[in-house]
Amino acid sequence: MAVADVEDCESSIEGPDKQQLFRRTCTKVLMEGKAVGRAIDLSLLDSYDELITVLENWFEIKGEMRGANKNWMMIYRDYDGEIIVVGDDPWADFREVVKQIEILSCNHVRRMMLSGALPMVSGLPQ
Amino acid sequence: MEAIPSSIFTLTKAVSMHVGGGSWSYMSTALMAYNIRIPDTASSYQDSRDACIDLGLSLRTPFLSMYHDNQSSKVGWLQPESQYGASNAGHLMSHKKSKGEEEDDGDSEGAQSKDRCCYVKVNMDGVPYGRKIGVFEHTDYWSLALQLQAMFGKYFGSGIRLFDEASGLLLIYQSNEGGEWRSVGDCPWE
Repeated sequence: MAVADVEDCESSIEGPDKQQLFRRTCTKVLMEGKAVGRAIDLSLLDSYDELITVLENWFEIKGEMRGANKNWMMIYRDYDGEIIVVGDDPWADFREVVKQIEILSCNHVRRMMLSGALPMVSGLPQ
Repeated sequence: MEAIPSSIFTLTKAVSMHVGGGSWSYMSTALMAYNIRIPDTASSYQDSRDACIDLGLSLRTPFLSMYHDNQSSKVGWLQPESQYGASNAGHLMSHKKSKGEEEDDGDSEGAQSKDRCCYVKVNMDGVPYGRKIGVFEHTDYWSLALQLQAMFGKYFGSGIRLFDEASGLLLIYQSNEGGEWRSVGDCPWE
Protein backbone atom coordinates (compact mmCIF):
# COMPACT_ATOMS: atom_id res chain seq x y z
CA MET A 1 0.00 0.00 0.00
CA ALA A 2 1.36 3.33 -1.03
CA VAL A 3 0.87 5.07 2.23
CA ALA A 4 3.91 6.64 3.72
CA ASP A 5 4.88 9.04 6.41
CA VAL A 6 4.87 12.60 5.34
CA GLU A 7 7.33 15.14 6.57
CA ASP A 8 5.07 18.05 5.95
CA CYS A 9 1.83 17.40 7.77
CA GLU A 10 0.27 20.71 7.06
CA SER A 11 -1.12 22.24 3.94
CA SER A 12 -2.35 25.72 3.44
CA ILE A 13 -5.84 26.38 2.28
CA GLU A 14 -7.72 29.53 1.64
CA GLY A 15 -10.32 30.42 4.15
CA PRO A 16 -13.59 32.17 3.40
CA ASP A 17 -11.93 35.54 3.87
CA LYS A 18 -9.10 34.57 1.58
CA GLN A 19 -6.84 34.17 4.56
CA GLN A 20 -4.28 31.48 4.56
CA LEU A 21 -5.36 28.79 6.94
CA PHE A 22 -3.19 25.86 7.86
CA ARG A 23 -4.87 22.56 8.37
CA ARG A 24 -3.18 19.48 9.65
CA THR A 25 -3.22 16.70 7.08
CA CYS A 26 -1.50 13.99 9.07
CA THR A 27 -2.58 12.27 12.21
CA LYS A 28 -0.12 11.22 14.86
CA VAL A 29 -0.17 7.56 15.78
CA LEU A 30 1.34 6.42 19.05
CA MET A 31 1.73 2.87 20.21
CA GLU A 32 2.12 1.57 23.71
CA GLY A 33 5.68 0.56 24.34
CA LYS A 34 7.04 2.44 21.37
CA ALA A 35 9.04 5.56 22.01
CA VAL A 36 8.63 6.84 18.48
CA GLY A 37 5.29 7.42 16.90
CA ARG A 38 4.24 7.69 13.30
CA ALA A 39 2.16 10.08 11.29
CA ILE A 40 -0.42 9.00 8.80
CA ASP A 41 -2.39 10.89 6.22
CA LEU A 42 -5.92 9.59 6.66
CA SER A 43 -7.10 11.27 3.49
CA LEU A 44 -5.16 8.66 1.55
CA LEU A 45 -7.19 5.87 3.10
CA ASP A 46 -10.75 4.88 2.39
CA SER A 47 -11.72 2.73 5.33
CA TYR A 48 -10.87 1.52 8.78
CA ASP A 49 -9.69 -1.74 7.24
CA GLU A 50 -7.05 0.10 5.29
CA LEU A 51 -6.02 2.01 8.37
CA ILE A 52 -5.60 -1.16 10.39
CA THR A 53 -3.66 -2.83 7.60
CA VAL A 54 -1.24 0.08 7.38
CA LEU A 55 -0.72 0.35 11.09
CA GLU A 56 -0.26 -3.38 11.53
CA ASN A 57 2.52 -3.19 8.95
CA TRP A 58 4.12 -0.14 10.42
CA PHE A 59 4.19 -1.42 13.95
CA GLU A 60 4.82 -5.03 13.00
CA ILE A 61 1.72 -6.43 14.62
CA LYS A 62 0.11 -8.10 11.67
CA GLY A 63 -3.14 -9.79 12.49
CA GLU A 64 -3.14 -8.57 16.05
CA MET A 65 -5.53 -5.70 15.73
CA ARG A 66 -8.58 -7.66 14.73
CA GLY A 67 -10.08 -11.08 14.81
CA ALA A 68 -9.33 -13.89 17.16
CA ASN A 69 -5.73 -12.84 17.65
CA LYS A 70 -6.59 -9.32 18.64
CA ASN A 71 -4.09 -8.11 21.19
CA TRP A 72 -4.25 -4.44 20.40
CA MET A 73 -7.02 -1.95 20.26
CA MET A 74 -7.11 1.51 18.77
CA ILE A 75 -8.47 4.54 20.45
CA TYR A 76 -8.32 8.12 19.38
CA ARG A 77 -8.30 11.45 21.11
CA ASP A 78 -10.49 14.13 19.67
CA TYR A 79 -10.14 17.87 19.90
CA ASP A 80 -12.07 17.87 23.16
CA GLY A 81 -9.41 15.66 24.62
CA GLU A 82 -11.77 12.75 24.99
CA ILE A 83 -10.82 9.17 24.31
CA ILE A 84 -12.99 7.16 21.97
CA VAL A 85 -12.72 3.74 20.40
CA VAL A 86 -11.70 3.83 16.76
CA GLY A 87 -14.30 2.37 14.49
CA ASP A 88 -17.60 3.68 15.78
CA ASP A 89 -17.68 6.79 13.66
CA PRO A 90 -18.38 6.74 9.97
CA TRP A 91 -15.00 6.83 8.27
CA ALA A 92 -15.49 10.30 6.83
CA ASP A 93 -16.51 11.67 10.22
CA PHE A 94 -13.58 9.98 11.90
CA ARG A 95 -11.12 11.74 9.65
CA GLU A 96 -12.58 15.05 10.72
CA VAL A 97 -12.64 14.56 14.45
CA VAL A 98 -9.54 12.54 15.13
CA LYS A 99 -6.67 14.41 16.64
CA GLN A 100 -4.40 11.54 17.58
CA ILE A 101 -4.55 7.77 17.37
CA GLU A 102 -3.18 5.48 20.03
CA ILE A 103 -2.66 1.75 19.91
CA LEU A 104 -3.01 0.10 23.27
CA SER A 105 -2.67 -3.48 24.32
CA CYS A 106 -5.85 -5.11 25.52
CA ASN A 107 -4.16 -6.04 28.77
CA HIS A 108 -3.16 -2.45 29.31
CA VAL A 109 -6.72 -1.29 28.82
CA ARG A 110 -8.00 -3.93 31.17
CA ARG A 111 -5.64 -2.77 33.89
CA MET A 112 -6.61 0.81 33.30
CA MET A 113 -10.26 0.00 33.77
CA LEU A 114 -9.54 -1.22 37.23
CA SER A 115 -7.60 1.87 38.11
CA GLY A 116 -10.05 4.19 36.39
CA ALA A 117 -7.34 5.95 34.46
CA LEU A 118 -5.78 5.80 31.07
CA PRO A 119 -2.27 7.21 31.18
CA MET A 120 -0.57 8.65 28.20
CA VAL A 121 0.79 6.11 25.79
CA SER A 122 4.54 5.61 26.07
CA GLY A 123 4.73 8.58 28.37
CA LEU A 124 4.70 10.90 25.42
CA PRO A 125 3.04 14.25 25.92
CA GLN A 126 -0.40 14.73 24.43
CA MET B 1 -13.79 -8.77 31.14
CA GLU B 2 -15.08 -8.75 34.68
CA ALA B 3 -17.84 -6.36 35.59
CA ILE B 4 -16.85 -3.34 37.55
CA PRO B 5 -18.34 -3.49 41.01
CA SER B 6 -20.00 -0.16 41.43
CA SER B 7 -23.45 0.84 42.42
CA ILE B 8 -23.41 3.89 40.26
CA PHE B 9 -22.38 4.18 36.68
CA THR B 10 -22.09 7.42 34.92
CA LEU B 11 -22.63 7.03 31.26
CA THR B 12 -21.57 10.22 29.77
CA LYS B 13 -21.71 11.04 26.18
CA ALA B 14 -20.79 14.18 24.43
CA VAL B 15 -21.42 15.13 20.89
CA SER B 16 -20.70 18.21 19.00
CA MET B 17 -22.31 18.59 15.71
CA HIS B 18 -22.70 21.36 13.30
CA VAL B 19 -26.17 21.42 11.86
CA GLY B 20 -26.81 23.83 9.09
CA GLY B 21 -25.27 27.16 9.79
CA GLY B 22 -26.56 27.59 13.27
CA SER B 23 -24.49 28.40 16.26
CA TRP B 24 -23.18 25.75 18.55
CA SER B 25 -24.71 24.95 21.85
CA TYR B 26 -24.33 21.91 23.98
CA MET B 27 -26.09 19.91 26.55
CA SER B 28 -24.57 17.18 28.59
CA THR B 29 -26.24 14.10 29.87
CA ALA B 30 -25.33 11.31 32.15
CA LEU B 31 -26.63 7.88 32.76
CA MET B 32 -26.81 6.97 36.35
CA ALA B 33 -27.89 3.91 38.21
CA TYR B 34 -31.28 4.96 39.37
CA ASN B 35 -34.84 4.57 38.31
CA ILE B 36 -35.47 4.32 34.64
CA ARG B 37 -38.21 6.15 32.91
CA ILE B 38 -39.00 5.58 29.32
CA PRO B 39 -41.28 8.03 27.61
CA ASP B 40 -44.47 7.06 25.94
CA THR B 41 -44.89 7.54 22.26
CA ALA B 42 -43.73 10.81 20.86
CA SER B 43 -45.75 13.79 21.81
CA SER B 44 -46.60 16.71 19.61
CA TYR B 45 -43.19 18.15 20.29
CA GLN B 46 -42.16 20.36 17.47
CA ASP B 47 -40.00 18.46 15.09
CA SER B 48 -37.26 20.43 13.54
CA ARG B 49 -34.65 19.03 11.28
CA ASP B 50 -32.27 21.61 12.60
CA ALA B 51 -32.65 20.56 16.21
CA CYS B 52 -30.81 17.68 17.70
CA ILE B 53 -31.91 15.64 20.62
CA ASP B 54 -30.03 15.13 23.74
CA LEU B 55 -30.05 11.52 24.79
CA GLY B 56 -28.97 11.95 28.34
CA LEU B 57 -25.56 10.45 27.99
CA SER B 58 -23.48 13.48 28.70
CA LEU B 59 -24.63 14.44 25.32
CA ARG B 60 -23.68 17.76 23.91
CA THR B 61 -25.65 18.71 20.89
CA PRO B 62 -26.08 21.98 19.09
CA PHE B 63 -29.62 23.18 19.09
CA LEU B 64 -31.45 26.25 18.11
CA SER B 65 -32.37 29.08 20.38
CA MET B 66 -35.77 27.58 20.96
CA TYR B 67 -34.05 25.15 23.25
CA HIS B 68 -31.88 27.18 25.45
CA ASP B 69 -33.54 30.55 25.71
CA ASN B 70 -35.66 29.86 28.74
CA GLN B 71 -37.61 27.24 30.55
CA SER B 72 -40.81 27.90 28.68
CA SER B 73 -39.27 26.66 25.47
CA LYS B 74 -38.62 23.27 26.96
CA VAL B 75 -42.14 21.98 26.73
CA GLY B 76 -42.87 18.97 28.80
CA TRP B 77 -39.44 18.69 30.32
CA LEU B 78 -39.43 18.16 34.00
CA GLN B 79 -36.79 19.04 36.47
CA PRO B 80 -35.16 15.95 37.86
CA GLU B 81 -35.53 17.36 41.32
CA SER B 82 -39.27 17.23 40.98
CA GLN B 83 -39.29 13.58 40.13
CA TYR B 84 -36.61 12.10 42.24
CA GLY B 85 -35.31 12.73 45.66
CA ALA B 86 -33.17 15.75 46.20
CA SER B 87 -30.48 13.46 47.47
CA ASN B 88 -30.45 11.64 44.17
CA ALA B 89 -30.18 14.80 42.16
CA GLY B 90 -27.50 16.11 44.42
CA HIS B 91 -25.56 12.91 44.14
CA LEU B 92 -25.81 13.00 40.41
CA MET B 93 -24.60 16.54 40.30
CA SER B 94 -21.65 15.97 42.53
CA HIS B 95 -20.70 12.80 40.75
CA LYS B 96 -21.00 14.39 37.39
CA LYS B 97 -18.88 17.35 38.33
CA SER B 98 -16.06 15.14 39.38
CA LYS B 99 -16.05 13.31 36.10
CA GLY B 100 -17.45 15.60 33.51
CA GLU B 101 -15.83 18.95 33.96
CA GLU B 102 -14.21 18.63 30.62
CA GLU B 103 -17.56 18.35 28.98
CA ASP B 104 -19.00 21.54 30.30
CA ASP B 105 -16.91 24.02 28.44
CA GLY B 106 -19.28 24.09 25.53
CA ASP B 107 -16.53 25.02 23.17
CA SER B 108 -16.89 23.98 19.62
CA GLU B 109 -14.54 21.42 18.28
CA GLY B 110 -12.01 21.98 15.58
CA ALA B 111 -12.69 21.62 11.92
CA GLN B 112 -15.98 19.84 11.50
CA SER B 113 -17.89 18.66 8.50
CA LYS B 114 -21.05 20.68 8.26
CA ASP B 115 -23.03 17.76 7.00
CA ARG B 116 -21.77 15.23 9.48
CA CYS B 117 -24.28 12.84 10.87
CA CYS B 118 -25.22 13.00 14.50
CA TYR B 119 -22.73 10.64 16.12
CA VAL B 120 -22.63 11.03 19.83
CA LYS B 121 -19.88 10.20 22.23
CA VAL B 122 -20.73 7.80 25.00
CA ASN B 123 -18.56 7.55 28.05
CA MET B 124 -19.16 5.18 30.89
CA ASP B 125 -17.77 5.75 34.29
CA GLY B 126 -15.04 3.24 34.96
CA VAL B 127 -14.33 2.57 31.31
CA PRO B 128 -11.27 4.45 30.11
CA TYR B 129 -12.51 4.97 26.58
CA GLY B 130 -15.72 6.13 25.07
CA ARG B 131 -17.81 4.95 22.17
CA LYS B 132 -19.84 6.63 19.50
CA ILE B 133 -23.49 6.14 18.66
CA GLY B 134 -25.34 7.38 15.65
CA VAL B 135 -28.34 9.15 17.11
CA PHE B 136 -30.36 9.23 13.93
CA GLU B 137 -29.87 5.54 13.39
CA HIS B 138 -32.32 4.95 16.17
CA THR B 139 -36.04 5.40 15.97
CA ASP B 140 -36.72 5.60 19.66
CA TYR B 141 -35.18 5.30 23.07
CA TRP B 142 -35.60 1.58 23.06
CA SER B 143 -33.30 0.94 20.13
CA LEU B 144 -30.80 3.30 21.70
CA ALA B 145 -30.97 1.34 24.91
CA LEU B 146 -30.28 -1.86 23.03
CA GLN B 147 -27.18 -0.47 21.43
CA LEU B 148 -25.92 0.87 24.73
CA GLN B 149 -26.49 -2.52 26.19
CA ALA B 150 -24.43 -4.08 23.42
CA MET B 151 -21.62 -1.61 23.99
CA PHE B 152 -21.54 -1.37 27.74
CA GLY B 153 -23.58 -4.21 29.08
CA LYS B 154 -20.51 -6.30 29.79
CA TYR B 155 -19.26 -3.71 32.24
CA PHE B 156 -22.43 -3.77 34.28
CA GLY B 157 -23.15 -6.99 36.11
CA SER B 158 -26.81 -7.32 35.32
CA GLY B 159 -26.64 -5.52 32.04
CA ILE B 160 -27.60 -1.96 31.28
CA ARG B 161 -31.24 -2.78 30.57
CA LEU B 162 -32.25 0.79 30.10
CA PHE B 163 -35.78 -0.22 29.24
CA ASP B 164 -36.19 -2.18 32.42
CA GLU B 165 -37.31 -0.14 35.37
CA ALA B 166 -36.01 -2.80 37.67
CA SER B 167 -32.48 -2.28 36.41
CA GLY B 168 -32.27 0.95 38.30
CA LEU B 169 -30.79 2.95 35.47
CA LEU B 170 -31.71 6.49 34.73
CA LEU B 171 -30.99 8.42 31.64
CA ILE B 172 -30.52 12.06 32.31
CA TYR B 173 -28.88 14.91 30.54
CA GLN B 174 -27.31 18.10 31.65
CA SER B 175 -27.82 21.36 29.90
CA ASN B 176 -24.52 22.96 29.26
CA GLU B 177 -26.15 26.33 29.47
CA GLY B 178 -27.67 26.06 32.88
CA GLY B 179 -25.98 22.95 34.15
CA GLU B 180 -29.33 21.51 35.12
CA TRP B 181 -29.90 17.81 35.05
CA ARG B 182 -32.98 16.63 33.24
CA SER B 183 -34.52 13.29 32.69
CA VAL B 184 -34.21 12.05 29.14
CA GLY B 185 -37.50 10.32 29.54
CA ASP B 186 -39.26 13.64 29.64
CA CYS B 187 -37.99 14.69 26.28
CA PRO B 188 -39.73 13.32 23.22
CA TRP B 189 -37.44 11.34 21.00
CA GLU B 190 -37.66 13.91 18.24
